[in-house]
Amino acid sequence: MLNRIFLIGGLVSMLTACGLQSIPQAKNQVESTLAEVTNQYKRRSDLIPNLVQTVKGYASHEKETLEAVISARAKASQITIDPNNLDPQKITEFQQAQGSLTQALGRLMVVMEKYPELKADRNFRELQAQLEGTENRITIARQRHIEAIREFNNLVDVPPTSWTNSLFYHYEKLKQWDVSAEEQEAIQKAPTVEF
Amino acid sequence: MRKLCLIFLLTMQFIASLHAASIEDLDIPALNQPVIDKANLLSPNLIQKLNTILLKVWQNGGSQIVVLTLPSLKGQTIEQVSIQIVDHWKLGEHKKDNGILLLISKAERKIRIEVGQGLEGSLPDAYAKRIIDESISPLFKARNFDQGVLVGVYKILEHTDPNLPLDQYFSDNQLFLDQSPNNEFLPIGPFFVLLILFIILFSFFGGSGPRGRGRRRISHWHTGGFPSTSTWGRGGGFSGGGGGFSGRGGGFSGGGASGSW
Repeated sequence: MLNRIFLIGGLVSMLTACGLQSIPQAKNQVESTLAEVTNQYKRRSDLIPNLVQTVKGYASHEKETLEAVISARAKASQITIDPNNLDPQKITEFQQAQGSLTQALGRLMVVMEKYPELKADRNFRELQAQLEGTENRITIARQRHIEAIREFNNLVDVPPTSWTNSLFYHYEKLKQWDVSAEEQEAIQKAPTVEF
Repeated sequence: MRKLCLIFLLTMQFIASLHAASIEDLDIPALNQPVIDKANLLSPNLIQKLNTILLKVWQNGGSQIVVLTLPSLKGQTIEQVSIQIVDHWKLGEHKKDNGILLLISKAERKIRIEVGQGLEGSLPDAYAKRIIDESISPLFKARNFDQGVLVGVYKILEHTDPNLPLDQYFSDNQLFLDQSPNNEFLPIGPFFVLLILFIILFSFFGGSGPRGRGRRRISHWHTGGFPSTSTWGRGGGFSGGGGGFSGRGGGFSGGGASGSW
């Protein structure tokens, strides 16, 4: 009888050792990488007013393009996600809003190619560098978040850690991030530059 | 701007290739010294000089700056390659995150300064871009890779480690000699020449000639420099030296700037 207790005890402890720590750790990683993503998107958002001001100085006629950026930014700022409360619906909305902003910015940058004086302006070049840097940071933050989701999903899905999950945590698999529908469209129809 | 479109495409591509093993494809070189010239763009002299300077910076509590030249990016963008490398090497000190990678790709003619998280304040993206566009790129366009890298590194250090005696490091030729293995050997060649000269002189003056002078002069001979680069670079002088040169867990979040020539 005692032997059986030890055997079962040993088995349970082995199973729970697999994932007892790593599952919550992986979940924390998902949350922190998501926080980083929202951080970088905010950073981009903060750059935009300055950018719009600078562009206005040289290309005030491009009202439509500028206004598109301003309104896309406003919409994106309204949708915030709480990294500790991963609501898939909210996340989709967030991605869509940010995707629209990315598109609007892209169009602005293409239009700016027509204005050599603007391109030569030191302030504009600095902002452009900052914007490119921020876009790179966004890309990397997203990659890391996607990686974190994948690791978490692996732990939740794949035995033996999945058994520990069923026993203790009951976490659901997380929806993987993908490129929003709008971004996908933008990629397929890349804007052409006309001089 | 085309760059933004490119980044869209990259994100798409990355997601599509989530199962692809990118590090294996990339073939990241081993980190054993601050200057790694896989594309053979730089002179051995410059490599030696810069290795000494950057090692000294790192050993004196400064940033960990690495210069890497690659023959090609093998189809990836320089941003993708750069982040993979720094994530693998983990340049800089953990928590301090003070690593920097100056990456140069020969085939695509691309330059990137990847700035560690802890240095993003002292070297913001706009400044990194300026260093590339105004300092490095023009020199590279003139095919002056040595100067381009030297000036680029100096400008980077001006931002990241202004408290260190940079001018001294860059101009101190004695610094390079301390590293040279020749200090350990007797400069046999010139010694014999002088010995023979003295013997000849002795024979002229009948023994009452200048005796001690020459010996002291010998020590100056090797400041003239033994130009043969084969004696300098045990290359691995750095791995032997202060306990090796490797990353110490520094973090990167994608800051920096890219350019081309």
